[in-house]
Amino acid sequence: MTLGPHTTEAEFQAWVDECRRNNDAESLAAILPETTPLFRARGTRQLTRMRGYVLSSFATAGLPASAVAFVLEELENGMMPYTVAAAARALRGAPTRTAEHAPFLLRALRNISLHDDAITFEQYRTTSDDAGTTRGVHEILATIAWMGPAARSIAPDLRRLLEREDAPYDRATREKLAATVECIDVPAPAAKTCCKKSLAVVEQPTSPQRLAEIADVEATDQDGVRVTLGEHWGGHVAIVTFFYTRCENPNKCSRTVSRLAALQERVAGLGLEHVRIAALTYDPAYDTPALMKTYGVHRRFHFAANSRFLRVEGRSALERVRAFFELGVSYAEGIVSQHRIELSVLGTDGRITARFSRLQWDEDQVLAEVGRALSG
Amino acid sequence: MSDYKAQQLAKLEATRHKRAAAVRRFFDPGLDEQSRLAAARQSGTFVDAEVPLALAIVDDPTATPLLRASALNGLFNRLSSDEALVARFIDLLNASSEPRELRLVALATLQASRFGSSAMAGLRPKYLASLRKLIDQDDDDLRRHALEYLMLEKDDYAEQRLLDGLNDPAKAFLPPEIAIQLLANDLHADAVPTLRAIARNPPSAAARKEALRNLATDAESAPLLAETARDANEHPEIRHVSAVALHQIDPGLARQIMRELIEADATDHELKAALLNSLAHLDATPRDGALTAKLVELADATDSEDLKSMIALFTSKP
Repeated sequence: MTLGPHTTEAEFQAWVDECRRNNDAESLAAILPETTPLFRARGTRQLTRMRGYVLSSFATAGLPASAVAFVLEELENGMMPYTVAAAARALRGAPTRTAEHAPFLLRALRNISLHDDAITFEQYRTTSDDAGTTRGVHEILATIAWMGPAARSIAPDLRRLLEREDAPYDRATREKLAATVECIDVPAPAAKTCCKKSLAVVEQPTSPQRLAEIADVEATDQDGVRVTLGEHWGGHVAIVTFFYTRCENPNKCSRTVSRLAALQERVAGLGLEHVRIAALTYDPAYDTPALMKTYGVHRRFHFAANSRFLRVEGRSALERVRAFFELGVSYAEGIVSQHRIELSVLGTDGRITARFSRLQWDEDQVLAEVGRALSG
Repeated sequence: MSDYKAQQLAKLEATRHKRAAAVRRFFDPGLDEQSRLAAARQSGTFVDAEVPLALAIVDDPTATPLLRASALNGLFNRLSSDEALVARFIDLLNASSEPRELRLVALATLQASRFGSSAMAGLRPKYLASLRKLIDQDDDDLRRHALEYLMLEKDDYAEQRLLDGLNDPAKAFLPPEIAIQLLANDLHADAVPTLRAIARNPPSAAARKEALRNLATDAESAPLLAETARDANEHPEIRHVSAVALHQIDPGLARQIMRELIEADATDHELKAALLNSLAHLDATPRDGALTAKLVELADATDSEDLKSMIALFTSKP
């Protein structure tokens, strides 16, 4: 069956169920990127249902290496109990228990504990039926327990949670939490824990694309000043990230812009004022200059000639920018329906020299890539 | 001790006595129900030894629903930390055999304790699952409240049920304009085609107004909103809602249309007043002399006091 924009949710469910029966995890993983045609023109709600159902399937079909970044992304940044719980279940399909994944589960626990929900993976859609109901927090704890000693690094954090009287857990959850800590807080057989290691996805694109391909794209900055991308970035090393002001996930656009502001300070501290810093909106039809400016100022971004927020003019221009940066974003009815975190470093020759995507970028790694671009 | 302090302590003591008397009256089975219900209103929330007495009334099937509901209501403060009591309230909410008065109080108190109750936070999944069940029950009040509370949580199931009702009136639980207002708690692209369809082919004028108002999230609806705002055959309220929604998507175009309408002789004066109000509060663009001069003329010519006062407000701002 070929999946596409016209596939109904019922057809999609049948296809996933078939993949589950055949343990065809690779086919499931192949549809996860935001730009998959299946996701085109679907709203956020529908995408949440679809992605959650696919992610949860890896628990039984097996978690292939190609899906791991998507699972970790959801654990690190997801705020919806359904998809976060699905990602936690997915990890239980991994062939090995990886110590570096434990902090992601702890993060997921923090992300959803205050707004956990009753969810089910037994059927595709949420219903008012209790059958097969689980909870996001319980799924995360089950995965931590499944990891056993490989999750030992987070045992002290879990113990602290357990000791907090105001932790948002009922008695049943506290009992599960206590049992989970007992499961993992035992010596690991071969201590290969390395939780400081960043799992941020850094790509070194080999594409021959140059800024020249989008240099003529016109944009308006946060003050309403019109500029072409070539005028702003041409001949400079540039840090370019993406956001939109009506993003509802505080771990994504809001955090991206706050972290970009922190990065901006470090760049300035290194005396690299000639490095261009830009955040482009995914949603130029909605994000007016005034909205972009307010959004940036409230997140301590300092606007200057080398540091701007930009909205490109026109849909075709947006498409060209999207293709150039290979953006992980999809739209429905002109509204962003899903996107990943992404930051690119452009070299002085206009080539993308490094791309950080999906997981929170590591500031030191970004600065190292900027240094490489400046020297190369 | 100062006189002031003594007076305040005396007042506190009098209040304490008054409450103690009210609590005694509420728990007195020898009194008639009206007296006990009146006493409940002066009892505040129950503490210490009063709690088991209140629970006994809640559990008493021979007590009237209103008396049981009053006892339940008086346990509100306990929900902040008593997990077993929260679970008991949720069970009452789920029990279709219990009187609706009791279930409505259980629902209101559970919802009110969403903030600041650690016990409620732990049982949130169970509470949300109960709300979803209420949607399918026959009681309109319970269903309406459940939908509202679920939409405050941006609930996928509730949203789907509301959209189903808007797309197929046979599946509707609520008037379409109310359903749209609830959906507006979390408008995503999933709802946009439905809103556009209602704006073009409305089941009622109120539904159309709500649909147009909420198309402010949809950049592709800018032409529809501009056309509606400019259409002299439309009701002034619809034109105003469209212009304000357009301002969210395309402030420049909205400003231009609002100005055209304010300056046009044929425009209804109440609409002009509403548009000026919107421009005064939504638009940060500096005032220009030509518009101000036109408004001064308009203020002299109009009989509408609303328009006169809006012109005064608008022109007084820099």
